[in-house]
Parts: sequence; structure tokens; C-alpha cells
Amino acid sequence: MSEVLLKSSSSNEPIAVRLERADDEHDTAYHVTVGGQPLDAELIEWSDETGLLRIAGRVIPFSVLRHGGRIDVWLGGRTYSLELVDQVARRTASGPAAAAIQSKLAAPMPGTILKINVAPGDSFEAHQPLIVMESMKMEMTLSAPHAGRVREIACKPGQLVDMGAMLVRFEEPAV
Amino acid sequence: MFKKVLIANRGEIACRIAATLQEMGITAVGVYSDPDRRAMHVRTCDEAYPLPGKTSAETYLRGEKFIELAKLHGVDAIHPGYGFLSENEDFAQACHDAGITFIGPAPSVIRDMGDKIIAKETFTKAGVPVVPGWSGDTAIGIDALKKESAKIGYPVLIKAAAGGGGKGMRVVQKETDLAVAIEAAQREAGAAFGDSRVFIEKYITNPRHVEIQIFGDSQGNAVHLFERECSVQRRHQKIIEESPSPALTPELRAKMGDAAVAAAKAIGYSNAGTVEFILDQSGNFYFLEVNTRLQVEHPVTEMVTHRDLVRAQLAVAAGEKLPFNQADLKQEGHAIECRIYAEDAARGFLPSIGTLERYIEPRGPGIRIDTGVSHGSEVSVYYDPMLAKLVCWARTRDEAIDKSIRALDRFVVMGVTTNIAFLRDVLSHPEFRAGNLHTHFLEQHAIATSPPGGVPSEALIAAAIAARLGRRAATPSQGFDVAAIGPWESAGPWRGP
Repeated sequence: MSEVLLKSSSSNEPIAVRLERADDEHDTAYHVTVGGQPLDAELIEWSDETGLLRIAGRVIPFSVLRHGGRIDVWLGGRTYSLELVDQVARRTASGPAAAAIQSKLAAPMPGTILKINVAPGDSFEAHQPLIVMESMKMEMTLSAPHAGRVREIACKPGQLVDMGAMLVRFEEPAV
Repeated sequence: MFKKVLIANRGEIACRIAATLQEMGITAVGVYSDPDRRAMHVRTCDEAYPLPGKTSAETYLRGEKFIELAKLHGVDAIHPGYGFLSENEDFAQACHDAGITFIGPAPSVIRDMGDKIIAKETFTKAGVPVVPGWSGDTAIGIDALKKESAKIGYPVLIKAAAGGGGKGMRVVQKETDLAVAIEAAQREAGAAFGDSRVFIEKYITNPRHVEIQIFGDSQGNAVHLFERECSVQRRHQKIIEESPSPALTPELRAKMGDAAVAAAKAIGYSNAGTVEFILDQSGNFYFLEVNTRLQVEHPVTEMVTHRDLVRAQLAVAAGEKLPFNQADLKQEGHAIECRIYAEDAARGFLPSIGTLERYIEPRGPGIRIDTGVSHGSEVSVYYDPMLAKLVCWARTRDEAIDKSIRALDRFVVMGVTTNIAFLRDVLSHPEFRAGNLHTHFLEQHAIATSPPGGVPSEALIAAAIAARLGRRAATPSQGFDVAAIGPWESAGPWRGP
């Protein structure tokens, strides 16, 4: 779960936006709280700072331009100029969010390891591609479920792995 | 057919004309002022030459420079686009005198149609209904003018003979206001056009602006390509145009089309032109004026008739017969054009100057975008701040409105303020959906022009997610990584449908 503080020219007080990954199979959903108000949001598309959000059943195209601490958001024909006041990333180990903190990356299907993008000791960010493997004639990229550090690589390129096999062990998250 | 055509214009129309020229294997020659050095139309043309200077007066209005360039580079025809010198009879004549074909009607036709009083008289003689009015020498004195106005019936409209755009125009509700209004209109007209002649017309309440596309050739043939409704205007500037007009029945369409063709033949019109009419609320139509050029909104006609009007212009200018008969022409489906302007709605719609830090056009079936800008383009003070024309076609008007709204929602322009949100609000208005349009539509419905106070939650969420995900572009892949780009890779972020 993380919290982002945003300020606009029309508000004196920064507004807190809390983001929590929702536990969904496609890894695109968030539980969001905006200034205390909860919403469910889904990031349907995201590429080159432009994407689609689904919020309360509505699909909303948007584009974002970052200039250092400033974030300009284009949405519905208007550009909103926001300032990133502070970014506080917190890992909480309470409730359903705790299940999202994982200790390893496991093979979701049997297949062959093609490429390993990280090494022991490397830090990684959420969604960073860690392993590329091939299964049933399809190439799959396995991405990090959250930010962390690599403790151990438990596979090698060319190796055949079973479903559920541990591929990367993560360091214990800092509290 | 011509080998080399010089486009005496800039921006989106220069790009659009160049496209047809290149399709036809004709060399497209462009020109550019200093501020336009890196403009898109310069890169689009096959050759481009500088017009030193910044303002329009120093550059795109210098007819003699175009002729000089044309002679120097072996150009055989000049396309004037719209605005600038497109309705300047002296320029058309100068081209003719230099042995260069001017793509448009004859200089005498341009001259006559540029004078609204002459145009009105010509068309009255041709049996085209005109707005009841009076024109003559205003030196006959105020009492005589009051008599004439009373004959027409109040309210009346004082108009300038030599130009439009609202200059030299006054609405007069009652006789006691007449003298002051005439004097003010004359002063304004003199300042704007160097010609203070005015005339008087019946003022039609809540008129609809419906214009007919005409086309003639040098062999006496003339056709119409149906109508465009252009009623949604602000300060006499068109913002949204469409074809067909929701106000026209097939009978009215036929009557107006025939009247426009009669007008075209009466004046020996050749090449592309537009006959503007106003419709009153009872379905009566009255001739307003003829525009002797290709118009900004010509794409809506192209979309519903499946014709390339620039291509037809070149054919006619090269002496060929009109490439279509009236019987060949049909309207199909519905097209709506939204003009995207870089303007600041919060500051009285003044131009918004800047660099396009991001520019992403919407894509999809039935979407056409004519533009002269791209990512990185500069929007300057010197020229018209129109960025692009979004033209959407669908089988029905409702679908065309839906498509236009969806497209506007995906038309990303950052770095300048635009009227995209405003256009969206207009299209979403129930009265627009109902087709109840007239030239005071925007004032009547007071469609909000400035953004509501505060930032919507969606924008805050988008910013927060962007801050978390960082600048990293998503990794394209097949299979399981659905959090990145959607499964259909596309050149832009809005995968269809």
C-alpha cells in the first residue's frame, strides 16, 4: 500500500491518494482512497505515460506528463497541473494486503526458463520483469509482484521447471 | 494535368492539399514564414521555400512573392487554400497574367461575390430567395432609411457591404435606435474593410446557417454536393459543422440545391464554392453570400459524398469536365466536424500559446483528422490557433455524435489549453442531440466554458498511479503479463475498437 500526496493550484491542502493493489488475477486493480473516499480503480492500459482507467464502471482515457515533482494530467480535454508533495511508500503487513507480499517468484506453469533479468542482491520494483519463460509455445514474462530485493536465483536458462517451482527467492521485506 | 503546384497557405490545409497532390503524382511546393520553419506542412511538401518575415502581412499575404517563387521553380498552378489570398481577385488576376493557373474561379467572379450588395442583386435576378432588405446610398437621409426599415419590419440588421465576421454589423430592435446603429456600423466597416458602405436586412431570429457546396467547370456545368449545417458558432466563428443538416427535408434539400446551382450558373461559376443560406424557423431559406473558395469544413462533404474535392478542383482548373454529374452524387451516413482550437476558455477564448508537449490523436474506423501540428509543434501568436479538425463519420447522426465524443475523450493535447472539453460539452447537450441548432445555440444554452473548480478524483488517481509506476514504459509480451500493454500491440495507446 502506498500513499501519494498531491497538490493542485486550486487547493491549499494537499490531497492524499492511497493506493493498494487489489488481489486480482490480472494484477491491474487497485483499492484507492482519495481524500478519504474509497474507490475501486483498474488500470486497463498503460504505455508511455498514457492509459485507460476504469473507475466505477466508466472507462477514462488519460495521459500524464512529469516534470520532476510536477505531474500534469490530461483527462477529458483538460489538463490538471499537480505537484507531488511527498511520496510515502509503506509496506503494511496487516489484512489482505499481507498476502500480496511474497517471499518468492514461482513458475505458474511447467515450462522452460529463457532469460533471467536479475541477479542476487539486485533491487527490483513492482512489475519489473524478472524471468522470461516459455510454456506451451507462448513466451511469458514473470514480473515482480511488488518492490523488493533478490536473495537467490533458483533456476538457470534452458532449465525445464514444474508448475510451482521456486525460481527467485526474495529478501524478507523491511518492516 | 499540372506537374507542380504551389500551396499559398500553411497549417492543416496545406498538408491536406499536399496529400492529394502527391496522390496524383504532382509535386507539392510549400512556403513557410520564419515561425513556420519547422512546421509540419513544410515537411509534408516535396519542396518548400522561405517567406522571410513573421506576420501574415509580411508573408502569407504577399501575392507577388508567391508569383516570384512560382516562376523561379517552374510551378504551373497555385492553390490558395482558404483565408489569406484565396478570395483576392487581384492575386487571382496576377496569377493569370503571369501564366500560372489560379485554382479557383475567375477573378471577376471573386470580385463580384466579394461585394455583398452586388452578390445579393445578382442572385435576386437569378430567382434565388434573398433576405428581405434594402441596399442603396445611405446618403438618402435618416427619415428615408427609417421608412425602408419599417417596410422590412423590425428587428433589422445593419451589415457591411465589403466584409463579414461580425464587423460593421448591428441589430436594431426599434426605429429610435436606427440612426446610431447605422453610424456605428459605417464607422466600423470603414475601419475594418476600408469601405463604409452598409445595407439593411430583416433580422431573422435564431437562424440556422446551412450552406451548399457547389462546383462548376469551365464548360458551363455546375452541380451541388448537398449541404453543411454550421450553426454552432461563437462570435461568427464556426466550431462544429455537419452533413446532412438535421433541419432539411428531402424537398427542402432539393430546393436549396437547385437554387445554389441556379446561382452558380448565373454567375458562370467554376471550381469549388459555397453558397451560404440562412434558414428561419419556418423552413424558409434565404441567400446570404457566396464563398469563392474551398472552405475549412469541406471534409464533412467529402465524408458523406465519398469525393476528394481538392482532386476535383485540380481537374477543373486543368480545364477538364467536372468529374461528377448531379446524378452521380449521393449523401451517405452522417459526418460531424469539430474544430480543435488552442484557446483558453477561461480567458475569453484568447489563443493559448505554447509547445505541444504531447499530441496523441484518437484512432478508429470513421475517424478522419486533418491537422498541421504534431508532437513538439509550436502554437504561435501569428496565425489562427486551429490545431486540427476532427471529422467523424457514422451511419446515423446519433452514432456520429457518439463517435465524436469518444474520439474527443482520446484526443490528448498537452502544452496548450484547448477547446476539447468545450466541444465535448456541446456535443453532449440534449439540444444538440435533438438537432435543435441555430446560430445563438452557445449563448442560449450557456455551455460552461471554464473548468469546474477543483481537480476530479479520476485525475488524482491517474497522477498517483503514474507516480507509483514511474516513467518506465510497459514491457510488451505475449501470454501472462497483462498488466503491461493490452494484448493488441498498436502504434498508439488507444487500441481499438
